[in-house]
Amino acid sequence: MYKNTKEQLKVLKQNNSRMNPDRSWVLENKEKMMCQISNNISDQKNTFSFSHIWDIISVVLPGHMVYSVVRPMVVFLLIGAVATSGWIASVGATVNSLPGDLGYGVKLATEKTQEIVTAVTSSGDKEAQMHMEFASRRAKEVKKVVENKVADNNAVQTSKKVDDTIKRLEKSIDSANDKIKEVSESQPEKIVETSKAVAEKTKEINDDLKEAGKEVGNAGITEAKKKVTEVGLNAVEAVIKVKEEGSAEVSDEEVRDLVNNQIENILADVDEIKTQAADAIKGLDDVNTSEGGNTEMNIDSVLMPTSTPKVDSMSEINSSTIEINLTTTTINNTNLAEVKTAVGEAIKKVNETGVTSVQNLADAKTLVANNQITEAIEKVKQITGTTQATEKVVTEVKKVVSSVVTQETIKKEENVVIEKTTSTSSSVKVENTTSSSVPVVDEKKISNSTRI
Amino acid sequence: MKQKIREKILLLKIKTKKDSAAFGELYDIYVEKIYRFVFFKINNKEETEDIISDVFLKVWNYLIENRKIEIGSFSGLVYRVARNNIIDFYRQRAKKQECSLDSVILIADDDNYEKVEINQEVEQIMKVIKKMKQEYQEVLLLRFVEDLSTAEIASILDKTSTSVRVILHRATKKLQELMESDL
Repeated sequence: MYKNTKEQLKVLKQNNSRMNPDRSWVLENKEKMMCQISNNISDQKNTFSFSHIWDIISVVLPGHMVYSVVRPMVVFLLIGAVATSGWIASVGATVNSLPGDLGYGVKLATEKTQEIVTAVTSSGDKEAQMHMEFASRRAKEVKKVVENKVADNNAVQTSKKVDDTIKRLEKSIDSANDKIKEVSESQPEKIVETSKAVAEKTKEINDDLKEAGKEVGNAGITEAKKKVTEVGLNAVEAVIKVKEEGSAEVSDEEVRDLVNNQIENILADVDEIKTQAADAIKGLDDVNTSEGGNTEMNIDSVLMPTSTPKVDSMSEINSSTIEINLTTTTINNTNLAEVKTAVGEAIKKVNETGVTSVQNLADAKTLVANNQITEAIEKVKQITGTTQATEKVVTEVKKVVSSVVTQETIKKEENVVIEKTTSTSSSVKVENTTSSSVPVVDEKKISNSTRI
Repeated sequence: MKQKIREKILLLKIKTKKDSAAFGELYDIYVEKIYRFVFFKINNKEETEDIISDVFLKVWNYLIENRKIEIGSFSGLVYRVARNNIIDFYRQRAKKQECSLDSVILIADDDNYEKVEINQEVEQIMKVIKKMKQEYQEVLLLRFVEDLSTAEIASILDKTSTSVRVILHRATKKLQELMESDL
């Protein structure tokens, strides 16, 4: 009955029908549209998202089936597997993937699932340990990314991966911190065990970050270490608080062990800073002025302070404010000498502060032995602040030294080329007019508020 | 079926890689259909061209800004955007109080000696269809001119498949009656 009508309607689609667009207009419009689209596409690289997997599956299966049947089934199976055994998280192929790898999104998604499951099925202490485990993984990833940077040969990308991973690490640390507070309030009987686990992970994380920090002078890594150390101290303080309030039985020995553990960690940090300072100075020592003047520093006088500083009272110990102001200017003999002097002075102060810190840590140990735990912890916190500040200074010094060494190396190579040119063509006189911009010391601002 | 899979792959490329070439391919597939759909309502070539340009750019922006939203069908999306643009067009025209064209025949004025092909059969069908409800017009166009399934039409018109089947049946019946009475 309607066949004729349908046929008539199909006539509307005929090529000569007015209802069809002009071919020329179609092409012209397409060109304009593609131009507008191309101008608006950002250069931001597309990152793989886990949701793309469902989009890929929906190419072959009906969309509604993928989102209403397949996806819930897969999520349910994943949650079930994670809840009943942790093998997916620990053994799965994605466990070794690094930021930027294809499986990294899956790894993070698995951890997120584990987080949700643990929040529902476990208590605060397990959650705190889980967050520290995730932070530890992030630290290992940072270390591996930095190790791979030579192979990648892309400093910008490496820096971005490190920064992003550090942010995730800090987020895990914040979550662990919150859970520690929760445990001290709602499960005080578990605080000692939690604190021990946190202290162990703190050391592991800081060791990995130290390794990474040796390769790249990244301010984010230094900040992250600060946060990690703080969470360790917070855990110890939580134990002390529980003991003082009497909410759970905590032995004196357990508290002493925890505090001594923190002291040992800081001692290790101080040693590490000393080593890094020595390495920085050695690098600068190899740089001589181009006109033959030797402004070589006396390494021993920089590394070994001339006198042993005395500590009058604990209140006089504040965070070191050793600074080096950096500006760009033309490097020449005068400035190079100034650089060496300023760096030498800074490192000298760093080492003096280090010696002070070691002495103060010894005092803290004495306080612990005498059961003056609160005083000991306060001292440890202050020394931690000082150590972190000196570490920042050493990082800055390393950057300055690296720039100077690089610049001098370039200059030497250019001189070699010029000499060769001069020797082959004696009538050609070439002056080395290379001027370079490199961070050098313009003003020296070294004020050390550590009164001795 | 192959066409559907091809479209899904193109859509996936747009979502994952912001692939403009993939969008260009989808434009090639749909431009004529959407043009007919819009022209059927607007009856003005220039306005239709403007609307079509706008529709495809809006669809592109929607796909890029909402990459995480599931898009079941590109066809449904582009027709919906076109329909919304037509509604906006009518609203603006109502504000300006322009006169709507009743005739589907372009009359060449003294200054414009454009040759117009008058297809009598097309003219007759269009006249008849224009007498029907908007809903009936859309369903007839999408089903019999553009060969869309009832599910796709339902997605465009935001109705259930059952409703669309009922509307289609009534529209076809009405069209038949009007065609017979016109004769």
